[in-house]
This record gives sequence, C-alpha cells and structure tokens, in this order.
Amino acid sequence: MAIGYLITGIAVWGLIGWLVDRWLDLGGVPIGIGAMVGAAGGVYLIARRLGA
Amino acid sequence: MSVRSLASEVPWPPSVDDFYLPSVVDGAYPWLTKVTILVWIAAAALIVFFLVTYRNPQLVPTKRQWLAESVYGFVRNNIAKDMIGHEGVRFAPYLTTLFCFVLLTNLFGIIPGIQMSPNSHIAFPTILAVISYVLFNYVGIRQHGFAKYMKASLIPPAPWYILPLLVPIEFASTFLFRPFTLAVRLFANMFAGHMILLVFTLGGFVMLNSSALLAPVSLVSWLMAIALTFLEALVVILQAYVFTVLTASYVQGALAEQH
Repeated sequence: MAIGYLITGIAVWGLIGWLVDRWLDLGGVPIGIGAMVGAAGGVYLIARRLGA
Repeated sequence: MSVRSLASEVPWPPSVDDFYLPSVVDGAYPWLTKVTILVWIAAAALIVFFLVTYRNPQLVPTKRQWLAESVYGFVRNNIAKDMIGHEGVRFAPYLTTLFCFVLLTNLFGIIPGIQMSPNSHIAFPTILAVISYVLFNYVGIRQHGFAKYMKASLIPPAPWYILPLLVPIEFASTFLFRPFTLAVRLFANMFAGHMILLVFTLGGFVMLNSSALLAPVSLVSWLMAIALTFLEALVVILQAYVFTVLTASYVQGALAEQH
C-alpha cells in the first residue's frame, strides 16, 4: 500500500513531466522534476492516509 | 536411448509460445485448449465440492461438512472479518469463492500431469481483477453515493494548495493501478513459476543430450525442478491469499467513512 503510493506518485508526475518535456522540448529536465515532485506527493499521501 | 531421442525434440529455450497450447481437437475450436478446459474443471469442481459437502448439513458437522466449513470459516474470520470488520460477513461468500477458485487454478500449475495454470494467461487474472474492481466501486458508491464516494477516494485530508499535486496520484492509484497490479501480480507469479519449472525440466533433457560431461548434471537440474515445485506450492497458496486479502482491503477502503 505505502510502496504503491510512492511508485504511483513518481509514475503519475513523471508522466506529466514527460508530456511537458515533449511539449516544450526541454531535454528531459521536466521528467526528473516531475518524478521528484511525485515522490514528495507520494510520501505526503502515505503520511496522511496511512500514518497516525 | 529413448530418453536421448526425446531430448533432441525438446523445444529449447522455453518461450512464451510454450504457454499457447494447441487446440484439443485437431484443427478445430482454437479456444478449446487445456487451459479453458482446466477453468471449466475448476468451476465445476468447486460447485460440486460445496454442494456435496453442504448437502444435509448437521449441527455436529460431518467430515465433509467440516472440510467446507473450515475453508469458509478461514476466509470469513481471517480475511473478511479481519479486513472489513463486522460488515465483512456480507462479502465472505464472494471472497471464499474467489479464494478457492484462484487457489485451485493456481494449483493446476504444479499438479503432476497437469502443470499448467490458467492464471499464467493474463486474461483470467484480468477478469478476476475486473470483478473485484467493479465490486469495490459499486459497494462504495452504494454506501456513500457517487459524489461522496469520489470525494472520499480522491481528496485526501490536506490543505487545498497541495491538492492539485495529490488528486492525480490518488486517482491513478485507486482507479487505474489497483486492477492492473491485482491482475499482473497473480499473472506474473504463475507465469514465472511455470517458466522456471520449464527451464529446469527441459534444461535437464538438453544437458543430457549435449555432452558426457554435462549429462550427469541433468539429474541435479531435475532435482531442482522438484524442489522448485515445492516452492511453487508456497507461491500458489500465498498468491491466492494475497488476491483475496487485497480485494477485501479495497472493499474495506470503499466502505470506510473517512479514509
């Protein structure tokens, strides 16, 4: 469950980053930013949904 | 010598093609394969098993009745009630059917002479996952109403300015990845199990046929195949359990007042 949120976060925002990268052609930078933002969101969700 | 001539016909290396079995009737009915027949057998066996064991139930259970009641009791108490709580009893019949069906179809993968699990074709786990997906969404919508259910599943307790970041994650994890991972987990486990057994069994024949030096090693290979069959027995039971527990956990999540 917890790992799922983390992977989902990275996947979803990584995908959005990839789409932005395709659109603006920034050499892959948005993918990295997206993946990190997604990981942060995933961790936040784990804390809120599954934490105390 | 007969073993050696058999070895020369062994298809090597094992590939995905080994999972696509030919039709039972030559040249006709491409859907009538060992796999589909096994699914029918599993369904029929479960229907017969529960009908026979529950025929004329006694207050003091008979042996057959005890067998069926322990399976049902296990799923009801240790999965349905544990995961969902008091309301879980409502879902115990479905969860028991699901558990038994997955367990039996998984077991076909290691029963000598059958050794082909229908669940190593992704179509069957997919259908099971779709049923569980429809079930937990239906239950959630019926419990809370569509709007409230969507709000509870999509909007986590968080300040409004982080919500745009979190809602897509919630949507993907609940509505896209859940059925996908449910199906793939079962499929991949059964597929890999069958592949491993193929590698060690067929590999034994290939080594037997290759050189005098490697021929004795084929014995080790076959012993490994037997040992891995026992490992597979563990995986078979575990995956049936995991599939059922996750379905119960999704139902629980859909029923819960506050996520």
